[in-house]
Amino acid sequence: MRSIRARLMTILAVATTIIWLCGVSWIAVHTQRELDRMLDQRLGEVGRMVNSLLRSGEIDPMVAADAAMSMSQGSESGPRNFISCQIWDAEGRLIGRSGGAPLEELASIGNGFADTMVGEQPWRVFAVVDAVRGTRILIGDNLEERQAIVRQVVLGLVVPAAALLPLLAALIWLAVSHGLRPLDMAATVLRQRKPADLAPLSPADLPVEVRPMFQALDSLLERLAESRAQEQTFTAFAAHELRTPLAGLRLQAQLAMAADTEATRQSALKQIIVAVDRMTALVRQLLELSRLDGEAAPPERSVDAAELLDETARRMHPMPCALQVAPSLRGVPVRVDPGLFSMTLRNLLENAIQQSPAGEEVVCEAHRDADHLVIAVRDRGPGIPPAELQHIRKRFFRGRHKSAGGSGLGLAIADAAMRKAGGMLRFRNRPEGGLVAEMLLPVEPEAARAS
Amino acid sequence: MRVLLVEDDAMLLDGMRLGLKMHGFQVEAVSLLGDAEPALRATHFDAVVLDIMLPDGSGLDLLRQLRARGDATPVLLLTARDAVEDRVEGLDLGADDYLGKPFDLDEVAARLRAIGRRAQGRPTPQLTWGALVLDPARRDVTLHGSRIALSRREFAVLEVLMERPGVILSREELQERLYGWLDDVESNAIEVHIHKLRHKLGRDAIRTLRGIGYRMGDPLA
Repeated sequence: MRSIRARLMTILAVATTIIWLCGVSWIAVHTQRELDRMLDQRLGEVGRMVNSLLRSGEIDPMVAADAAMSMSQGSESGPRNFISCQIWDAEGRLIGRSGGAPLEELASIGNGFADTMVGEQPWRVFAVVDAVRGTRILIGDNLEERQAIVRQVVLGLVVPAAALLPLLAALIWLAVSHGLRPLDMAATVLRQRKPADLAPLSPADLPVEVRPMFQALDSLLERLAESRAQEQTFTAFAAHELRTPLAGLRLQAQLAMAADTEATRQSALKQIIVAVDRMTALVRQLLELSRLDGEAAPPERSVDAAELLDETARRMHPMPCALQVAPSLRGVPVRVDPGLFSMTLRNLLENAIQQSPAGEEVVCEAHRDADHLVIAVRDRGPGIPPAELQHIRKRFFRGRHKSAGGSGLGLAIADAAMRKAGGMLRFRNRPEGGLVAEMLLPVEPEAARAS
Repeated sequence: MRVLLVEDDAMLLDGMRLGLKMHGFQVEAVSLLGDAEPALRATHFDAVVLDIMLPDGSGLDLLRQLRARGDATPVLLLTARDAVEDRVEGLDLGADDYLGKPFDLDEVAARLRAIGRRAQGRPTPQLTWGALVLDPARRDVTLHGSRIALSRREFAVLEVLMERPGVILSREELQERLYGWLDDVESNAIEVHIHKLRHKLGRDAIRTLRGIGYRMGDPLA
């Protein structure tokens, strides 16, 4: 059901109807029972009364039977129907009969109550037997007449109740509509918002039930605002980072123009090429980072660790360093996107090579460590001062030992790519000097269990 | 003018060193704050070109320190941080000028000359001593209106002497202002330049005070 209003209306209407029906049924049943009880009581009283009249011996049975009838008209507020009275003597002769009473025997019982059929009609009969005189007094109610009374009473209650139903329905509708008004107001507030407005909504004056939804909305807005701020910061940073290389470029161009020797001019022009190459690399890295930020994570694939490394080496050909793959890695599955994996490794290797003094080898080695695949890139450069270790993943961070053409983005890219692929990076200084950069990828659980 | 360049980008550093040299400045360059501090304490500079974002700290901290200890060396902030707030902050901290990157080399040279002039209390760009006129921007010297050809070093010596005409400058001071740390200076290099200048300008243009130093002679008629 797509409308809260309709849903509420239906639930309330059905519930009210059921309750109403139950109520009415209960009234009907209860009234019936009470009436039966009362009328039975009356039967009993009248029967005993007639019996005592007869006993006294002074009254003619016919008169006594009539008396029964007049007694039944007793209270004015009670139900008005006539009982029938029959007085049978010991020989089975009908000696007394109230007006309108049937001629057949009402019942053949001894003392007490019975339900009988007289002719085609059901009767409720009370019998009093006088053992001494042998007389039987039968007092009976035509049940159909009883039912008529019950119907009258019940109808008298039900009809007004039924008239209430539409009134109830109208009230429910009004209540539901009014109750849902805060939702309408909240919707209006949202609709009036400017598209760029990411300020939080104020859940204070909203009903309690709607607040969780608006709080979730607020946290979404907050995340959106954060992400946009990050984007803007990033753009500002990127533009800023380009200014220094651009300044170098312009400078060299001016020097080339003002150079008084050809050698100076050539040197300046060469520097221009270098600067352009640097900026090209920077722009490429910026695009990479922007794509990492923007796109959803690619679906992970389960790949064999050794095959992954072979594939990566092929992609990066020529590999700037030897790749040592531990044999225990064959057949070990990892879940990772190969593109992100090689992007991370490439950036780590570039970083290591830039930091390494000429002639020193960069070692790249992969092995298994408990439930992780570890790819370690080791260089013999200056390492990273401990104070800077926490900053190196930040964008545009360039530490003490920064290289001439670096941008501060390589490790940021590696970190972002690795996290997107479901792994993480770890950095450590080597005791003998240099840095170890490790990529950690979780190994598939089955394999972990198998080993 | 002797200028200290504090900039961490290697290409920019080299380019500026070369470019400012072409404009007649004597340039020393460092790429860390940690190196700039001792350089400023050790020698006199006519101006400092200071980048703000350096690997071992902010150039503004160096500026603060300089001004705190009363060092009035003119400072030109040259930086990629170019927003108005950054400029205002830099200037209010005691910088004499502020340029953003990328910049024009000629403009940097001109601004350096301007803050050099201000520091010396000289309103006019040209240095005049009688009929001798030296133009620092155009790097030429005229006597009675006719141009005199001078070598780079001769020009530099004359410029230093004409900047403070009444002041006696010792040989060491002249050497300090003319030569970089890496230059090999022959012990009598200054005398040679002074001699050549006298030859071109007249004997009385520059006065020698034995044992003390040199200064400009009486204004040339």
